[in-house]
Amino acid sequence: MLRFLFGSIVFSLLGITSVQAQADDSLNVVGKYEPLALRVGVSLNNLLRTAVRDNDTQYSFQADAVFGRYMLVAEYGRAELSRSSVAENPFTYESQGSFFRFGPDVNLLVNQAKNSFRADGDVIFFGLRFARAQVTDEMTLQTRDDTEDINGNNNAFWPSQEITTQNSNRGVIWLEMTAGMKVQLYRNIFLGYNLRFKFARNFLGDTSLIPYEIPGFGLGENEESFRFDYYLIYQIPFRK
Amino acid sequence: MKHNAFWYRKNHLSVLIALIFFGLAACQDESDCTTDSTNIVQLEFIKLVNEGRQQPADELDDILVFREGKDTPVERITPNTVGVPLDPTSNSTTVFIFREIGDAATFDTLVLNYQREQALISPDCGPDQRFLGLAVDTARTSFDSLRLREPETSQFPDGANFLIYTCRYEMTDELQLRFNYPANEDTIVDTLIVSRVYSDVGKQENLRLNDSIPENGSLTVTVPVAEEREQIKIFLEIEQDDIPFREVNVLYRRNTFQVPTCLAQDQYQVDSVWMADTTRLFEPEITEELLNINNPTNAQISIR
Repeated sequence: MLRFLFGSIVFSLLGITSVQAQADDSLNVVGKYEPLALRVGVSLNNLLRTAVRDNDTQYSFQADAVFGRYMLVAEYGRAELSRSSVAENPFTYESQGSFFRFGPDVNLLVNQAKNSFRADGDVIFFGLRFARAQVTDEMTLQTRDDTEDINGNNNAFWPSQEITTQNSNRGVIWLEMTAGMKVQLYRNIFLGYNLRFKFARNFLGDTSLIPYEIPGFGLGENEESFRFDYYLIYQIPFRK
Repeated sequence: MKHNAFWYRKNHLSVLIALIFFGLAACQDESDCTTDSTNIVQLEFIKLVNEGRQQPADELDDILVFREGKDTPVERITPNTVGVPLDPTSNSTTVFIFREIGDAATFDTLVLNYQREQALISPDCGPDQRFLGLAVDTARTSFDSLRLREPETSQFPDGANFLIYTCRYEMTDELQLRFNYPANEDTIVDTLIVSRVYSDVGKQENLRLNDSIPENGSLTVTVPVAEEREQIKIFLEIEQDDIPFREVNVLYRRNTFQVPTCLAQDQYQVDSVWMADTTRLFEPEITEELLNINNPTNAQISIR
């Protein structure tokens, strides 16, 4: 249901903006080979998560260089988390890793008032990313044997034992389609979001432990993922 | 229609705020603790007899599965399926399979190899361990064949993970010939004295010696066939006859019979039976072409 909702929103946005883009095809392309500006942003939701969850530390940054209607984007982030339980199914899990993403964005918004793409206006964009993460994690768990004894208790054939399983710098790659906005709040300060569809997730090499959360991707057991990221962005203009 | 910069800011900011709301809703965790992973691998024992017919489950041999150092055998899931618990701390489990076939017993060592995959379903649900990539080492088994059907264990499987075939062909290299002595108007004696029955195979050893066939009775003779030949002659010496013997000819052929899951085996088939002297023996009738221990007679011949 949520996917359908997000899909509808994205397609609506793309539909509106593509009509606008088609309205003026003879644009005065400024900064085709020289960047107009550099925008640097920090992920707000990651900071929020770090603040409210004791066992999570996450942060990520993005930077994009503006070349007319196109933007070259690079992103980097790190994450650490730990989970544990002493209940019926005791375990401990710890993970740390980092990720980077890069790829192009295209600005779909035509600032018709100025009849050109400029670096100082709002942005509605669509982009592609190649992403790679490195994860080092470790989980300790109690084994379970489903053989039941006459009282209906498990572990009748193999007694429960504690085992530890881990990944050391396990590589993960994936692709992303992203769309979003950057809205100017005040002068060079922007607020923006990215809606990301992440797909083609692949672990590099064989893995026994599936990472619970892959930095920059989401839950490791999923091969696809939808995520929102909110950014506070500062723009460094190179031209007036 | 042209918009000014203020219109854009106002419009875009409202969309941004709306999407922040939807985005926060999307970030809520949805914990689903259900898992179908299990360490129980299912072995189905299938017994094939003759032409690949599956033996009914209740007629299977007695099968007991043990692991090293454990006296209690694994329980059966169905009459011919056992659930073997894989060692959750290792990528290999060795089990011993004890089978009782009639008075004989066989003891097989089955090494199950697999990969384990661990994952944290969620902090609330806890960890999970899957068993996949199942394979088996059959070097120390006497099963005819073993087929992997499902390489991952599941609590709700569609069928067994492994199908283990034990085949029992009931082929034989012995031909069953029945000589009948029907009562009719030509009958001259009440009982035929059969002094000797032998064939031209090997050293012409006696197949029967000093037998008798009463009126309306019969005599069944077991005749070994030779692998290197296609025809055999059976000689019947009757004491009351005025000729040395009566001769029956059998034409047969050998072919290789194999069910895909079993080892190949030779099979003999009778093509035709005829007599050298048609006045002394009636036209023979082939009752069962295949030489099989369950077929009491392959051909019957009436004696005049």
